[in-house]
Amino acid sequence: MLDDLRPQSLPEAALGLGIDPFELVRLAVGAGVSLERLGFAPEDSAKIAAFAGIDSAWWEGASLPADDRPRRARVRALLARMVERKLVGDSSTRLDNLWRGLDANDRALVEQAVRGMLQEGVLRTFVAPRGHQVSIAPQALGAVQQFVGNGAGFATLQGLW
Amino acid sequence: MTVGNAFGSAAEALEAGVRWRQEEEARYQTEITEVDQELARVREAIQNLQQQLSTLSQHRSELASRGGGFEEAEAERVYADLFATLGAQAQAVEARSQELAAAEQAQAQAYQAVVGDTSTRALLDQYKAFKATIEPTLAMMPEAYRSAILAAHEALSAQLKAKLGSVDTGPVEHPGPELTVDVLFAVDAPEGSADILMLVLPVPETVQSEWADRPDTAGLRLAARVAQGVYAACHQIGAPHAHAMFGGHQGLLAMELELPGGDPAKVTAVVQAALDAALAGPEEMKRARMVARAVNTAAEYLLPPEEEEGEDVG
Repeated sequence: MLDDLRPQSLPEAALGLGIDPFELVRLAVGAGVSLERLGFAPEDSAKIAAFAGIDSAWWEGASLPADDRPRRARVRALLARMVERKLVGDSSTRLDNLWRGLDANDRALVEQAVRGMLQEGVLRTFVAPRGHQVSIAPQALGAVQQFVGNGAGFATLQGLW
Repeated sequence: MTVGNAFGSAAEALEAGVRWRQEEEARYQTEITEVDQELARVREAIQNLQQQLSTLSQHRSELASRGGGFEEAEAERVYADLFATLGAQAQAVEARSQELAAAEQAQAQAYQAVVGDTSTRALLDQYKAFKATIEPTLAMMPEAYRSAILAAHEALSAQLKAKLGSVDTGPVEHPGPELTVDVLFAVDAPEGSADILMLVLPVPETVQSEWADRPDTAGLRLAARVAQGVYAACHQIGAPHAHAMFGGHQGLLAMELELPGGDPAKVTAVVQAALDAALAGPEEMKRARMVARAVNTAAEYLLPPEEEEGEDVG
């Protein structure tokens, strides 16, 4: 890219990646992206996104299952995608990918549901240099698949839908 | 034996005897009175001294019961002074941000005017199209065709550079006096090994908590440089997974980060060097005429004083 093209400012690049500026700086240090200018060319953002596993298309192409409770359908779709991508045990994704690109309501719902599922041990999270990671707890895979299939189970989350 | 005086008559001798006795009695009375007065004065002085002794003894007891306590009092005092100092510096950073904002806005508008120009727009569209669709396939093209494509792209790049080069896109220059601020950090090691890294920055906490609603400010850039130094240090001490937590403390932005242990002095040296490196060179700080110094201090100076037992903290 032309050096003369104005690079994005820190908040512009952070908004573009869907992370906060301090996480962006942390990832830039980890990915070896130069912070000499504190400006970010598209290549820099792409390198950071690749290092961090930021998946802006995480929900792309996802369809909600038929469910008389639309909010439950969203959570079922979330877990269906995790199963489909085999995000179980050590195979993980960035935690914030789970709500990336969703509107404010769905984002709040998914965040709440994820919190609940972490408390219940359905999901597990851990910290890695590329960011907070999340995956399905192996022992909960059966329950997750059942919930994805027919919406049954996860009684403690009933309040969310 | 008394040697007698010879008088003119016996009567005179008798009179002289009476007169002598009267005079001696008067002198005696005077002396007695004087001694009594002196005794009273001495007794009063003794009483005063005893009173002083009692007062001093009481004061001594009070001092002894305080048992010094200077360390705690010093920590409380230094904590208050440090936060007052950084609070004032944060106001100065905010003021500098506002002073720079007008120039930054003018620069952005000038850039947009050039980029928005129809001829520039067309060149940019061609440039982006090349990057998106042609460049990835270059390797598969015949040599001669590839050379021609690249030559055309070079010409396009030169044209774009000429247009965009007329607009300053670098950090904005501030004409004012140099602004020097402090970034406080402490490595807490309650058990002897480095446990927590704490930092307090001379910027308002809203720089982090409301970043999406604020423009790109000098305060945010300063905080980002601090984060850069902190994370560079984390990589050096073998903690690449470390994530800082952010929050407000007395309105200032505070960072806290779990450390993997190690010798606190060595960790402190690494953090100091990484912060110095991150804060020393940035062009945007030089042009904003801002100087930030990383200052190592004790963790207790960055923490609020502990409440007295039983004190209402509500």
